[in-house]
Amino acid sequence: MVLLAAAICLGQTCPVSPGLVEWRTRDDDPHRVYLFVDGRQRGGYDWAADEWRDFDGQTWGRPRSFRQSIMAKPAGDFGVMREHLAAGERLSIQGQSVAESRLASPESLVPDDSTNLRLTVIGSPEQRRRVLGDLVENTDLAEACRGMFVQSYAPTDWAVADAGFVTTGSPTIYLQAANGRVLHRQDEYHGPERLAAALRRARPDYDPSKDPNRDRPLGVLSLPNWPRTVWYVLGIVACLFLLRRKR
Amino acid sequence: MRYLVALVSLGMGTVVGLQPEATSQINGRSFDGDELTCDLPALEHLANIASRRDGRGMCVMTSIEMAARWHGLETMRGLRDWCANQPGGAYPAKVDRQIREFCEARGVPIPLYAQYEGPHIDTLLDRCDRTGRMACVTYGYSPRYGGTIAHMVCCTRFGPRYAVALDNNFPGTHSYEWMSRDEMRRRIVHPNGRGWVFVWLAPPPPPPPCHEP
Repeated sequence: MVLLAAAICLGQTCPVSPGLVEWRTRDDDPHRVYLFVDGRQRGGYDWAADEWRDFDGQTWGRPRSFRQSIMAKPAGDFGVMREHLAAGERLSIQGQSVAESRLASPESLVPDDSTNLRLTVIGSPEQRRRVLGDLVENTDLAEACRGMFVQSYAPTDWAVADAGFVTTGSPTIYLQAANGRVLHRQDEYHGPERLAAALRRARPDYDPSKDPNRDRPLGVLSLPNWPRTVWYVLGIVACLFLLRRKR
Repeated sequence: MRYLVALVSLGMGTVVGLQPEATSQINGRSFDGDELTCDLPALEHLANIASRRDGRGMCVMTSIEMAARWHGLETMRGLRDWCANQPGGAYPAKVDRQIREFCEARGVPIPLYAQYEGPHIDTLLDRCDRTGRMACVTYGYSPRYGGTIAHMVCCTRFGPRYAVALDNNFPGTHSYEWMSRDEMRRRIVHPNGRGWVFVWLAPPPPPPPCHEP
């Protein structure tokens, strides 16, 4: 069937309705078949020699290779082996198939981290290594960076060199919102505690009441780390309450 | 019989005679007020090559290494050339194997990546665009080629109006192929209605710094 279609399509003209099509054979010529359309002979094909010849009723055309046209690759095969692609739908992460029940839709393959803050360290390999090492070892700094993208670059890296970043710090450390807005920048590194404190203050969701107070003596009743004015107001309210009870 | 012949002929005609309309245009990094999401500098663009083993194209690993450069995955630099020592052409399972072998040979961990095969590519590409990730996608035709092709390119934009292909057969700052997102979708799933998407899950580079975006 495909061969027939290809025979008709040689020369890239494909009649949509080719009429009554018949392939006829002869007992004394087993390697050849002859094409008849609406009772008129249109050509013949030699299987052994792979030769197709047109026939206009009187003369035979020149032989043409048949398999070459039907086996032709796409107009351009640049390296995708389509025959190996899944017939249905397939999702995988790092080569491991993901069961459809785990993912509602294909986009679930990619986390929606479009609002994550960006912490970028730009400096020499040693400078970057020190900051990144503290990020792993210092729990305070690790907590301050939770939910952020942390990346480090050499000052010459294309991602920072021509993008408007200051690259002359030792190192330069940026905290940015997802849209690029700079929330904090420092051009020196003074250790994990100071960086953690700076990052906490710079975060848009910064809440001073959650600041850890490591200066508090052990064993003392743990009180919230509210601003001093809040404590004054609470004290006044308590005094008023006690005075009213005395009366 | 004649109906079957007609059907097959129609199918052959689709493959042999397909001449897609000029539904895209070649432009730079911006067009009609829209900009690339993944603006990889031209110096980091990679051109497709042939396998040194069998001469088949390396468009898949070329796209994947280009996307790795966008995501700052320096350990993946050289992936295309390393794979070109093996027979060319690729498909998802082969990509899994070659990335694993490459990382083993280099002694580096395998970066996280995801692959999708199927018809529902729109929401996945929307997610890639929103999160700034460069997806590698199959590409079934383009006016640049004039017929059906077996190709993979990088999708550097899949926005509400426009989508953009960075074709490794035409790398360079002024060679981006801009089209409507519907047209991009058609090209990705051509000719059998299903596409293949590869995406690194590492974060993209930080956005340019600013004070009031």
